[in-house]
Amino acid sequence: MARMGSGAGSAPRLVVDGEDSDRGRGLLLLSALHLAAPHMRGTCVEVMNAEEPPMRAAIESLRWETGLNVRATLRAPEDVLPGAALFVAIAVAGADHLPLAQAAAAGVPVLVPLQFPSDDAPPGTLLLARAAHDPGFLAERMLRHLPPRQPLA
Amino acid sequence: MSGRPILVVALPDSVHTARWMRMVHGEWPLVLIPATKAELAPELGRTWPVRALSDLLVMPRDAIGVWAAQPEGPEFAADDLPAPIGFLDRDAIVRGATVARAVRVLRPLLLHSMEIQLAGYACLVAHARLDGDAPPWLLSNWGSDIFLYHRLAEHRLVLEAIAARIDAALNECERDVPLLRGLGFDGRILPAQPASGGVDVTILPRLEALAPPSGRRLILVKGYHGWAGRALHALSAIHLAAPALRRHRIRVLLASPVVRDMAARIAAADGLDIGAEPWMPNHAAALARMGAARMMVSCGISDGIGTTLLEAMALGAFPIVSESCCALEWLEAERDGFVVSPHDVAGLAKAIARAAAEDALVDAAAPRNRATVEARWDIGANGGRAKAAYREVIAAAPGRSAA
Repeated sequence: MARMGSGAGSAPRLVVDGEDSDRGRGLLLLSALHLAAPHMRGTCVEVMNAEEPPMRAAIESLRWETGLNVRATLRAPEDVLPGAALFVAIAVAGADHLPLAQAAAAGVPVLVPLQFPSDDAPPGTLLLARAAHDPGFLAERMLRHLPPRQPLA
Repeated sequence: MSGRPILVVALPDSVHTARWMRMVHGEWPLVLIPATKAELAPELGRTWPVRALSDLLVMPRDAIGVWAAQPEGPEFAADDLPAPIGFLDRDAIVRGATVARAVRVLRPLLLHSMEIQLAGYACLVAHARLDGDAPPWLLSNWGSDIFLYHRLAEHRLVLEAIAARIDAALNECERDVPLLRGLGFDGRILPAQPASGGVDVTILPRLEALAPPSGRRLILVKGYHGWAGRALHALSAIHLAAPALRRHRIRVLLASPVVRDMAARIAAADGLDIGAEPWMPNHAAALARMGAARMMVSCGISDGIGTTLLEAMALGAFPIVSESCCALEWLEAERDGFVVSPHDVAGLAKAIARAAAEDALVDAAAPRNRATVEARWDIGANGGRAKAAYREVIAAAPGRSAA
């Protein structure tokens, strides 16, 4: 299994939010990873909030189908975010429940499309409106943040 | 009814269990060992409690036996096997010791497990306990039992152990044949047929009695979201296709609270007529609803050949389903239905928009899909095949008798 990188020279590491609920769309985000996987050789993916059995099964199925180096993590945001290339979540209406402050403190870029954003959603939310519902579009956006890699064989 | 019985270990509350058992009833005494503590499906019809061989001898001919002996000793401890994804009540799962005991008491001709992670796993434990006294074991693989579970390391080990012990297998989908071989099974794999067996196609509403699909404005969406279903993906597709759906009514079947919530958000954001549809206990009413649908949309990462899909095909609702089921073994994509990757929500949205707009497409598919269902889901024909399968598996193991 490829090492989960945490610093310069390591494989790029993506941290994603796996919560699938009335405020998160973790399973939709996993679909974006399915689509992006062929272009993510060498990238490690850590999935936070992945305790629910359907998410665990979806992660294992994703790994089986695509060979992507993806694991659930129990690490707290302040431990898992530093050194990550990107933090991704699909949220519903608002993003207050996400560790965006920790990501900012760690200098980690974030990609957080919102489904059905509230009127006081952050600027730029509308630009990601399609990414909140279209895993293909989200996959393209994620890949822009990662170093160019050779596709999986 | 005299003669040695066939033991069926299966979900007691499943309409598939009930339809199958009624379909094969009549040639052998049948005894159901419930795989969980759920209530018996009313479609089972007349049942008869069985605790001893003597109960079978006085069981009425029209009854299906149900194992009803009180648990003893080793039957109280749960089997040390992984439970199905998200299944919390391990205490409700039938023990292998219970199956083994029923086998020893009733000396069946055949042990048939329908569904793997509950019934099949219990039969695995029973088989090991019975050792050389086990009867022939026919494994029915429903839907996701192998297609999804063989990817999960903990379950794969169990599936491999099962593959080493079963005598024959019956799948819903031909696509599962290489998967079963990959698990190490080199025995007889019977021709695939739906888990439910079949229905009386003569009682399905005739297409001629229904509005043509092009005249229908109802869109039905399967609302399961969880370990296999991806209803929220389907609703995202509905959201993306919203401009094409303004003249339609969209109803989501069996929607959980989070799915209902998303439907409500779409209604508010997109101005669509979309909402949750209640479960209909009356099957005729549910069929009438399907017969009023222009299309049926289902999204998930794993499935077999679902009853909802077959009913849609029978009643003119244009099927739009995920490639993770085996719809392509029943219909031609792009002509009789759309089959889309469950991860390609944009593709699903395009498919929904096309089916909403292309009258000729949905009208032309309806009679072809109906003909397919009449040929392959007919209870008479499939019942004959199922009984032939039973005879074949029994005959292939002469002298194999339970203790």
